[in-house]
Amino acid sequence: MITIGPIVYTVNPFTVNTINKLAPPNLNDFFGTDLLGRDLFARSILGGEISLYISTVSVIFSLVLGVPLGLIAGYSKGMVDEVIMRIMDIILAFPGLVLALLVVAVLGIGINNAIIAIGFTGIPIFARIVRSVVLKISELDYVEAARALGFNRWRIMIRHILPNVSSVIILQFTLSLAAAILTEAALSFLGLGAPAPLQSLGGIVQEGFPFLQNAWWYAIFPGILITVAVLGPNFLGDGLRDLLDPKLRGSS
Amino acid sequence: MTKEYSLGGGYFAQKKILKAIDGVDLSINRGDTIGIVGESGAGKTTLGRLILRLIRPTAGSIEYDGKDIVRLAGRELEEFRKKAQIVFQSPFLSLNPSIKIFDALAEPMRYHKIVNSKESAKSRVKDLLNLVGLDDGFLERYPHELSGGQMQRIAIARALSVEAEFLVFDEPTSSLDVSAQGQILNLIRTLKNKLNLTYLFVSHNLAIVSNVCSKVGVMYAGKMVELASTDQFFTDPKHPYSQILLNSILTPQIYGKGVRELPKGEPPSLVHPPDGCRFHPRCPQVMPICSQREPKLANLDSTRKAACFLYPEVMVASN
Amino acid sequence: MLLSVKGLTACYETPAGLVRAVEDVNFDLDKDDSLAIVGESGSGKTTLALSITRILKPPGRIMNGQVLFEGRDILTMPENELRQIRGGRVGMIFQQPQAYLNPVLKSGFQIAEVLEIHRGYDRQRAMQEAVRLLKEVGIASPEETVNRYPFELSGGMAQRVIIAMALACSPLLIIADEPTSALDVTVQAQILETIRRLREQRHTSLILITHDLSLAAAACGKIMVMYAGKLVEAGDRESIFKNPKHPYTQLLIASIPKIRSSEEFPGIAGSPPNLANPPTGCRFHPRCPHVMDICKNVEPPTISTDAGQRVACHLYK
Repeated sequence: MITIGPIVYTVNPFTVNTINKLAPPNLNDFFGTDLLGRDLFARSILGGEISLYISTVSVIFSLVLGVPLGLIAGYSKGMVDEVIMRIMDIILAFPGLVLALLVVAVLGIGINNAIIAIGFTGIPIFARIVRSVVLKISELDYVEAARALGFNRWRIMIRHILPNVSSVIILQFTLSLAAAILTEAALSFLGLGAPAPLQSLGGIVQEGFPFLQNAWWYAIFPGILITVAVLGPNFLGDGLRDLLDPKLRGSS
Repeated sequence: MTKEYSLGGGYFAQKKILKAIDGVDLSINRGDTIGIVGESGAGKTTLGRLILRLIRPTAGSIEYDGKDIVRLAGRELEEFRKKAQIVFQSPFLSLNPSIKIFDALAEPMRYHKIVNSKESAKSRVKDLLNLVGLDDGFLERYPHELSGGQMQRIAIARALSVEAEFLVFDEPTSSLDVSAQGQILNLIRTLKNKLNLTYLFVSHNLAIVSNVCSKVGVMYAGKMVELASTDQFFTDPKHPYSQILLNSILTPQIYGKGVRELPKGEPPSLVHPPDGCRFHPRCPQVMPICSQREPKLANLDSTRKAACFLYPEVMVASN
Repeated sequence: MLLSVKGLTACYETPAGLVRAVEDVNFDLDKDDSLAIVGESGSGKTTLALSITRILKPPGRIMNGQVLFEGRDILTMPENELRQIRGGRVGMIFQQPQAYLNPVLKSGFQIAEVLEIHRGYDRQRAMQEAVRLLKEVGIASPEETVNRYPFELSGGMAQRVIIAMALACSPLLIIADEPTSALDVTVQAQILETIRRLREQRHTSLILITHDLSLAAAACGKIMVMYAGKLVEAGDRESIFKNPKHPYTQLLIASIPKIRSSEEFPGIAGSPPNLANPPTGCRFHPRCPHVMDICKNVEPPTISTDAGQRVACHLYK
């Protein structure tokens, strides 16, 4: 809904109309209006797009860095594995939000920095999950056959092992997406996410927070949207997991 | 081609040394089909993998065509890999489920530059499929669409795709149904003659070995205990363990009568093998010396070896 | 008649369709009998074994038939009666011993448990009996083994523990599904001898499920051959081996590798059928060297010869 929003809904989220400020939900403005009289519904749609954009790109960032690390750690084992996984452990030791705050503190506020921050916190889980699957797969005969055929390790990792890890990666993508949306919302709520005027949903909630008593719609509606956005990938992930598992079992 | 090696391969298990293979000497001549038999823990699978250098020996040397292969690397290692290949036990596990049959066969050839165009790859793959008795329809399929017998043929074709001259077969028919076993064994025999191959055939099934191999080596608890031609082995096994193995083969005549000369006990722990001869706790012909000294694998005559103190040649060699 | 199976039909509901794993199987087993059910993978033999004691789980379903054990139908009896039979009057042995032992419980305890539940023994008496049983199944030091965990046991010993569990309540029937496939050849010989000895002493009937025809003949007096869910031939072992009637049985017997024969290995052409969509008529017809036109359309009825052999093939009337 959020992504097709701007195509369908033509109200400009930036139109300031101070006479109409803080109006409750009505037929014109489904979510009411904000402090400057802007239509909250339109703003939420835009904010939702931004939330999704940041979350998705950051998960891709985690994936692009985490998967190769997991692949190398799982296949090389030994010292390389130890070093990589200890670094992952260090990253994991920090609660996600705290880590994201740290990164933003270092890099400054901005959409790209938010992406890097959230992406960074997501790297270890991809690395771990990929590594555990790779550990199992590398013991299988078809990997040994590839070694017997003389293939070098990179070809084995990329061409022979990685395709068989892909289902796990896809599953983790959906789960990480849900988590990223939440982390992004929290960051924005603290004022450290995407800056005005292109705030994400979390940013809108932050704006509306002081008005909870008088104009509850300001913070609540975007908040509900955040919840919906998180549930979406979660259900997708659950569905995917059910789809993948019995297929693996049923194929005998 | 002579392959000589004496090696001991060990694995570390919980800081104790588990000697999967201990001091095995073996020579294989070009054109041989040598069968390695023994039960689980004997080390025969480890032997196959060591010979191909899929794992490294802890001690000893392996020479292929006069060259030591343990230290090979880079281009020379690649050359060796083309000559010696392995076919695994379970075809379900030895073919990558995400790779199409055509690619599984073409990739090794492209990698080693045996073919350098799509057309030549396709034609060579078709030749390989024909060689193992399959038609072109299999090119676009994935392994899970094939039966066990078909998959094993692909595994053999893959090993031959790099123009190998020496093949290690690790229990190639144990995971297959009876109906496919015969087909695969016939194929293995035909290919040997057609392509002039040399085989190391690892199996626990003595009957199969008796029909496929010209020589037999028996392993027990990491040691080679007997080596003989197939004829000699099946008519006159020298080592007590060999005799017990042959007696364990089931035939319909056994029903209701029990098995003669039943083996006692269980295969030993490889972490704490018995002193002296590893088989002595279970040997029906055990003597006092068997628990004190290890018998060496010695020549009983020009064509056979055994490692048992029952034979004077072994006594002499073990001193 | 100890066990009478009539018209047993079982299938699996899979995304690919209804897989007819066992179709219309009939056989009888008397006290002291030993029957081997022989077939390759996909023949339905394991499904059959699981159906006899009704432990077949979804997506498997028993569609039809009767399993009369001591006159009572297992397929329709209430759960509590059935539970008394399982373990109490019928013992089961499976292929992978380690998979069927609880890894966190000591082996002696697992045997004792069977006795406590079915015979009402108290712990002490049950453990004593467990030790005695372990000795009976050929374990050298039963007092020690009783305290070991399954992972500390070798394959052969673990299988003996399972046999002890199966025998604990002196069942009338033991069903063994590939009890020795995961074991070494020498251990297999020992286990078979143990089963034979115990059967002789206790007069227990045996159903042995296996793909190995030699094993079947070495262990059992009666043999039943299955293909693609159907019974294709049954009889006593002499008749089956001297005079196999069904082409599939003949091919199976010919496929047993003989020591040092330099002939070609006979195989069976083709591949096992897809049970979701089995061939019409006789399920073996696509691979049969004696196929006739009628075989492609009409399923062969099972007929009995005077020697007590049964065969389902159009070659015989």
